[in-house]
This record gives sequence, structure tokens and C-alpha cells, in this order.
Amino acid sequence: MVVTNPSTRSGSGPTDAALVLAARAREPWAQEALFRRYAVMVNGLAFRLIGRDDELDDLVQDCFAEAWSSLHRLESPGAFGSWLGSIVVRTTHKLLRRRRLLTRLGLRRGAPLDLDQLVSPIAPPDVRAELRSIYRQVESWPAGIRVAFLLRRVEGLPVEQVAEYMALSLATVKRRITQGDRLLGDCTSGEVVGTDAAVDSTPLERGRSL
Amino acid sequence: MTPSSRLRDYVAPTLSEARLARQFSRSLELTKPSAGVALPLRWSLAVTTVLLVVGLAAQSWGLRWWATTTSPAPLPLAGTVLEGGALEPRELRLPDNSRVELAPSTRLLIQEAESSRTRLLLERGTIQVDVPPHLGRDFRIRAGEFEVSVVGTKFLVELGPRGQGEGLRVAVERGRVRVRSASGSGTDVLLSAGSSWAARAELGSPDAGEGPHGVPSSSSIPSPTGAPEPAPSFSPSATPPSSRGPFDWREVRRDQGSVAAHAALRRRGWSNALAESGPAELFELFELARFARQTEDAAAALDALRRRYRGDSRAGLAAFELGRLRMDLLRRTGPALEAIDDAIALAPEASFREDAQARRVQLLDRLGRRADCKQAQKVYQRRYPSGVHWKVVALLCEHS
Repeated sequence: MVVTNPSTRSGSGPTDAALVLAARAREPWAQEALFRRYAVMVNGLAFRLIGRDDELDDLVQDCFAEAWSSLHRLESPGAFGSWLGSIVVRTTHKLLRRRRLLTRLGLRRGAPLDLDQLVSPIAPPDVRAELRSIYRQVESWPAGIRVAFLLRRVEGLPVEQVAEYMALSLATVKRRITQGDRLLGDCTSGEVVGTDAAVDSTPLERGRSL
Repeated sequence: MTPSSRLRDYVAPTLSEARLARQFSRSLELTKPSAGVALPLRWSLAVTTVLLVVGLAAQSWGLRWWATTTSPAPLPLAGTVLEGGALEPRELRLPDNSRVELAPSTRLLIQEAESSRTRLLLERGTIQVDVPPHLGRDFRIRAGEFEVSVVGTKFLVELGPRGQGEGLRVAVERGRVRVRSASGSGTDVLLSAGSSWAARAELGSPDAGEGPHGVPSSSSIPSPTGAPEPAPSFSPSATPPSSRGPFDWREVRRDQGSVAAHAALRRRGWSNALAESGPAELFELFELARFARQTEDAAAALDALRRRYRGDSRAGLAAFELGRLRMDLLRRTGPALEAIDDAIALAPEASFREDAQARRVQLLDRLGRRADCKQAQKVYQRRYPSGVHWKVVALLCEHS
């Protein structure tokens, strides 16, 4: 793919594909532009998966570092956003598994979950109650169920995209989400198997081309 | 049960420019390969001792280091004094990947040299500096009584030798540079690409007061645009004219974040800012507005660029980005289609063409124009038989 419209060096204009190509050519402004474009998405997604702020910076840094190191392996430069999303999910999953293992071995005593910090103070009461319930429960879940459930329930991703991000089969993802619903004691688990009609479309800010 | 989109909206971290700058810097550091090879402890100590001795010698004796002209010199130590050769320029690379070229008879002191913080002191002569853009970078050059700070640019700084009535000249090739009095009061100008600035002052008056290097500390008159223009000399008794530079939203962005910078520009009039900007600045304003989550203003910046500068190489890209904003965030399907069509017309061979064609199909599907949708679908499938959007495009146009 040839970049025929080089942007300003501030990197605010080109498509993801153009920026990825420039970043591969070791243009530092392109890395910065990609970072700026996706920093909010990555921070938000990571935050909603880990449920706390104190580990967020390290996690985000690791995700972007992984992206910079693996950029040459990205086959479709235009799909940088969803590729980055899958890096965030994978890296967070590993972090959660490690955290859970260390806790069970008694080698980690993390700070208690601060639900007030997690949920926005302007959230309506029903939303607040639901989010507090979800995050209180997922703290004790296996990482695989937690990630799948949060991606579907809080992030609002279609089941197919959850499967793509987690590099799992559709059946496995559906099973995990159902397990999460059951653990949460939710009676509307039928939504998982149904269509995505009840779920809003994915906004561009998460970095997808379409 | 609350729709998922609502839940997501209420769980978000607090992000500031400073926090993001740290994250970005750190992510780059994490990708750097670790230096050196592990040595047995006694050898490590020996090597460390040798390096320490060399470093101390360089600092205490003002060791001169001549860079080669064939390739950039090894990264110099803080405290090192560098001099250009008698006849040839010298070039060096700093730890933050900036490049500095010293003209003959130039003398430059490196006060600090880190990956994100650089301080240079130009004692005499001329240097040409190329600083890659880098979020969070702090790069400053002290020259006489002035300080030149940069964020990602290429420029020239020239300081005349002491006692000869020559002053400071700064010329910017790319990006932006700020020049201000080292004392913090008086001169404060912002230079953009293609502009230069010069300061001259007469020596000799015992009342002038001297800054470092014998240059009087009174302010000078900037001429921030066009060809170099000598500033008139003035006596210390004359009242220096106001030399505050124009409002610089980039400074506000760096210090206070995108939201504050955007708000400051809005107070002055977003439309005015757009009207006064060229294509490069319009792209920067677009990014600022996006980062401040002001989608309408971001769209206005792109619209201005593609309408006013249709011959610019970025016009097609601007139209495409505008189409994406209208489609995905502003949810204006008709105007989105107009922008996407314009993008394809302005830049038919651009790298975003595939994205644009696929979006065209989706927009026509949303508008219920089945025949046009089918036609656009065929165009996409013919042109991109292995396209990334093939599966999605194939599902469209059935129910419109």
C-alpha cells in the first residue's frame, strides 16, 4: 500500500493505515499520532476490564509497547484499532490471571476495590447500582469469564468481536458469558445467544474502520 | 437491564495530558533494546570506573569533543563543551534523537542531555537543530539572554560573539519555536515555519545591566514574520516596546491539556481560528478538537480544509476524515456520504480509498438507496476481492 497523501508531521490527519506504514518506517511522529488517536480508547477499555486505576498506567504502557514492537506483524494496517483492542484484552487477561494466582498463593494483597472511584459520580442510580454489583462480583471470577463478560456486558461489544479480541471460538465466548450471567444471578442470559439488536453499534472511537 | 452503551459511559479513567505524555514516553522506553552485555562483576566495576573518570575529566577540564562529519557522534555527556571545526561544520546526535549541526567556530555546552529533557548553552556561533516531534519533550537552548524552546521543529540559532554588538538570530524551517528572555520578563515571541527573529542591543552603557555573556538584559524588538529584519538598537533609557508574543494554543495544550486549549480558542472564536489557518494548522486544530471531544469543531476544521484548499495534498484525506466523523459520531448519514464521495473524487488513488468505498456502501444502505447500494457494493467487491471489509460489505444492501 503506497501512502499518497503524507500528512502534517503532527500526525493528526492520516488514516490508521498511513500512520502504521509511517511508524514502521520509524517516523516518530506517526507513533505519537497513533498513540493520540487511541490513548483514550485503550485507557478506557483497560480500565473497565481491570476495574481499578492504580495499575492502569503500567497496563496501558505495556499495551502500547507491545503494539510498537509488533507493528511489523500487523497484516492489515487499516485494522490497527481492532488489533490494538485485542492486544489490550490479551494483556489485561494475563494481568488478571497473574493477579488472581498471586492472590491465591498469598503473595499479593491488593488494595480493596474502590467502587466509588470506579463508577462516575454522575451515573444515574440504576446504572450505579448495576455497575457496583457487576464489579463487586467479577473481582472473584476467573479471568476468562470476567473479561468475556465485561466486554459483552459493560463494553457492549458484539459476541463476535469479543471472540476476536480474546482469540477464542464463538462457542467458548458464549459459554463464558453465560457463566458470568449465571454467577451474577442475571435472568436475562438469553441476550447472549440472540442477535446484537439490543447492543449499540461500536463507536469509531474504539478504532474500528467500520 | 441497562443497555451496555450506558454502562460503558459511566466507567472511565481520569486522563490528563501529563498522564498521557508519561504513558507514551514510557511505552517507547519499554521498546528500546537493553544496552550492553552482562559482564562479570569485577569487569563491570572496572568499566564503570573508567567511564566515571572520563566523565569527570570532561566536566572539570571542559574537554573538547569534535564530532565527525561522516556520521553523527556518539551521544555526548552532560557538561561537555563542543566546538565546530575551523573550516567544516560538525554534527552530533543527542540522547533524545535530536540532531545538532555546529557551524565552524561555534562553541556549545551541553548542560543536560536526557531522552525527554535537553538543555544546551550556545556560547557563540551558529547551530542548526532538528528536533523530532515528541509528546512531553522539553528541549531548550540558552543563547545570550534568551531561551529558545522547541516542541518538534527544525531551526537555526545564531549568537554573535561578545563585545561586537551582534545579537541573537533565530530562523525556523519547520514547526514552531518560542524565544523569550531568560529572566522571564520582556521578550516572549513565537515563531512559526518560514519566519525568523533577530535581537540586537548596544553594549557599553554602565547602566544597561548585563545578563550572562555580557549581553544587556533589556528586551529587544521581535520581527516574527518574513525575511530577517534587524531590530533597531536602543538605549537603556528608552522604554522597550511590548514584546509579548501572540496567543499560542499549543502552549496552553502542553501546559493545561487539550480541553483547556480548545476552550481558550473557542473564547477567541473557533471560526476565526479556522479562517486564519492554513492546511497544516487546520489539521492540528482538528486533532485538538477531537482530543477535547468537540466533534462539531473537529468536523468544521476538516470541512474548512477540504473546501478552501482543494488543491492541497491533504484535502482528500480531510474529506475522508470528515466523512468518518459525520458517519460514526455525528450520525449524519447524508452529509457523511457527501464527504466520502468528495474524498474519493479528490484523491482517487489514496491509501484510504478502500475504507471510503466500503463506507460508501454502508451509507447508501442506511439511506435506503438499494440500487445505488448494490452498485457501490459491486464496485467494492470488484476492486477489493480480498478487502478487509469484504464480509461486512457483502451483508449490506439487502434490506435497504
